[in-house]
Amino acid sequence: MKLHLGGQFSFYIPGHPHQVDVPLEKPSRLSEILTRLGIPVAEINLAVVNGELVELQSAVISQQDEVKIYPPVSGG
Amino acid sequence: MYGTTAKVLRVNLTTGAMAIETLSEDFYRLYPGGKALAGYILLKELPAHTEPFAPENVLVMANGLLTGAPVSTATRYVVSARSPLTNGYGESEAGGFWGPELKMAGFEAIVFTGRAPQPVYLWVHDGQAEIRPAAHLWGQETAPVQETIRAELGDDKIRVLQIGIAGENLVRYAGITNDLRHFNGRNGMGAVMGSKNLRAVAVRGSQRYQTLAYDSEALMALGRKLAKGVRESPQAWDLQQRGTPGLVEALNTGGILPTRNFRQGTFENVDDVKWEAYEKQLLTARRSCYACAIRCKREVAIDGQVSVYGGPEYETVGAFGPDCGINDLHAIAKANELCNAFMLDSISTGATIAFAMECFEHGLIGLDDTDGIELRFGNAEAMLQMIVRIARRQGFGDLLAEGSRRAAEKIGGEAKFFAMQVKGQELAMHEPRGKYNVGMGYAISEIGADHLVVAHDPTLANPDSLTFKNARSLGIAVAQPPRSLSDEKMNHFYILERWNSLEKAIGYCFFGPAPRSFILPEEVLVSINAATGWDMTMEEALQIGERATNMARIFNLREGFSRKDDTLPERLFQGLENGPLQGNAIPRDEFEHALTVLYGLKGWDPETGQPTQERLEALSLGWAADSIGMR
Ligand code: SF4
Repeated sequence: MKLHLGGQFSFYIPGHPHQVDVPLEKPSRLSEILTRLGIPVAEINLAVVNGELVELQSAVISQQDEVKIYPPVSGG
Repeated sequence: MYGTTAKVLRVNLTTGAMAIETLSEDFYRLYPGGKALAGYILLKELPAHTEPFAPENVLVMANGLLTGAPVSTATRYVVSARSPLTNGYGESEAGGFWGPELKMAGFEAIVFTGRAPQPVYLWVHDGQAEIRPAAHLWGQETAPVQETIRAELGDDKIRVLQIGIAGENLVRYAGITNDLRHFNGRNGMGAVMGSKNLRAVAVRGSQRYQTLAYDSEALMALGRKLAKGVRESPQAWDLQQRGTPGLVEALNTGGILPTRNFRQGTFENVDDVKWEAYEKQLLTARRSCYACAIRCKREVAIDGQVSVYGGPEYETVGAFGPDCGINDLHAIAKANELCNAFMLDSISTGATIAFAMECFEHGLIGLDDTDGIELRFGNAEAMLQMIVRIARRQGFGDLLAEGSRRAAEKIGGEAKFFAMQVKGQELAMHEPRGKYNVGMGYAISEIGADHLVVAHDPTLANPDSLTFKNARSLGIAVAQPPRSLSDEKMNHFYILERWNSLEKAIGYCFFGPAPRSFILPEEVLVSINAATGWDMTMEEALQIGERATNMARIFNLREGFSRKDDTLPERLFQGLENGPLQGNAIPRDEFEHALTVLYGLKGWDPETGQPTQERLEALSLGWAADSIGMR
C-alpha cells in the first residue's frame, strides 16, 4: 500500500519521508499496520483510504490501496 | 523584583512629554505584562466611549513577563487600544524580536496617549527615549522605512516596529509589523497608531534577560531542555518542517478548509496551494523568532527574488487562496507581500475581499461599484488590485477598508449574511462547523472572531493522544468530540481560555505550550518561578489568565456590549455546501445552551454576560466593578 504521512507522521519514520510504500501480503487492519510501523495511532485525527474518510479502528487495507493519515491541527 | 524591568514608558504624543513609571511586585504578580497589563491600563485610563481614532485613545505595547527569556517561544508582546474595527477592547499579539529588544532596552511596556502634531517615530535605547520626526517616512512602504531608520540612527541591529500606509490611511484592519516579518495583524491596532501620527517605534538595548532573572541557571537549564524537546516533539518538528502552511491539506481532508467565503469546506484545487506546492514553488529557508528553536517562519522567493517580508502563513494562504476561490500560489505570495508592504491584516483583508466577491456574484454590487474590476471568486488579478485600493482607500477600496460589517451595512440587502465576522472582526481561516469550540471562541472572544482563544477541539478528542495527556495537569479530564457542545466541552473551553490568556499575559507563543505544542504546563510554571523567585501554583497562574479575560470583558460591557454580541454569523448555523461535513451546521439551540453553561463557569450573569461581584472579588478585580456601575 502507499502511505501518505500528513503533518507530523513523517517524524516517526527513518529519513522522514512524506510517503512510504508498505508491502502487504494479505489485507490487514490499518491500525495494526501503522502500529507495526511505529506510528502512534492515538495521534491520528483523520484517515483516508482511496479518497474516502474511514474509521481508523475498523478499516482493512489491501496492497493496492492508497492511505493518507493526518493529525489534529490547531491554530495557524 | 526579579524577572522584569518593571518599567513602563509613558509618552504623550501631543505634548512630547515622557515619563517612566516603576511597577510594584504585588501589582506585577496580578498583572504580569502582556494582555493582563494592557487590559489593566486600558480599563483604568481610557474613558468609556472614547472614539478609537481620537487622541484620547490609549495605545499600549506590553511585553509578557517572560518575553525575551532564553526559553523557546517566549517572544510575544501585545498591542492594545480601543479597536476601530470592533469598537471594543482591541488586542493583537506578535512574536519576532521587537519585544525582547524592548526588554533589553529597559522597558516592559510603552503607553501612548495624544496625537503628534506631525508624523513622528519613537527611538528607545537603553533606558532613554526620543521622539523624532517621520514626515520623510510617511507614505512609504515598510521595507524602505526600516532601512532609513536603521541608517539614520547608525545601527543595523535596531528592531523597528511600524505601520504602513494602511495604518496612515486609517484602514480599520491595518496592522503593525516588526522586522518586516512579524505582525500584530488583528483588530486595527495599526490604524490607531496611524491616528496618533506615530509611524514607528525603534528599539535597541544591551541588557540580558539573565541579569533580571531570580534563578538564571534554572531558566537556562529549562531553555536547554526545551531546545532539546523541540527536536524530540513530533508537533514541533512538523511546525519546523512545514510551518503553518502545512495545515492546508489536513483541513481540506477534514472538510474544514474555509472556501469561497465559508460556503464550502473543501477546495477542489487544494493541490495547487498545499504544502508540497508551497515548498516547490516558494520556499527558500526557515526562520525563527527570538531564541525559539521551533523556527516555524518561512522565507520565500517570488519570481526569483527573495522576499524581504517572509512567506505567507497558513492564515494568509487560506484567506487569499481557498476563501477567495483562488488556486494561484504565486498570486497568494504577492498578496502577502502587498499586505506586509502596506501593513494590512491579511486575514481581514482576504476575508473582506471574499465577502465582496460573494456580493458581486449575487449582483449586490456591480462593475460600476468596483471600479470596473470583475470581483469574482477565483479572480487573482482582481484580488491583488483590490488590496492596493484598500491600503490606499482608493475607489471601492475605500468602502472595503471599513471592514466587512460596515461595508455590508452600506451595500444593504442580504450583504449582511455574507459578512463573516463577529463584533466586526472577520473570522480567521478555521471552519467552526467541524470544531465547535473554535466557534465558541469566535463568538465569545472580546476582540471579535479570533482563532487563538482556546486550543482547537481535535487536540483533545482522543484520551490516548499526547496532546490530551499533556493537558491533564490543567484539569482536562474527559476527552470530547470536536462536534460537541456538551457541558464537559464547555469545561474544556473554560480551562483552556484561562490557560491561553495566561500565555498572552506572560509572553508565550501559541505554538509553544501544550496542548497545541510540547511545553508542559508544569514547565511554564517552572519558567515563571525561576524568573521571579515566586512560588506560584497552577491555580494562581490560571487566575492571571481569567483576570485578563475579565478585564477585557468589562471593557466591552462598559462600551455597551452584551450577550447578544457573543454570537456567530448566520451562515454557520446552516449546513456546509460540500465535503465530508456537507450539511453540517452548528446547532443553534445547543450553542445558546452551551453559552449559558460557559457563562456559568466563568461566573457571568446568563442574561447580561456581566461578571458577578463574587467572581470579580475572587479574581482581585473588585475595583473594576465600579466601571460597569455595579457599586
Ligand atoms: S513557534 Fe514560530 S511563531 Fe512561535 S515563537 Fe517560535 S518561531 Fe515564532
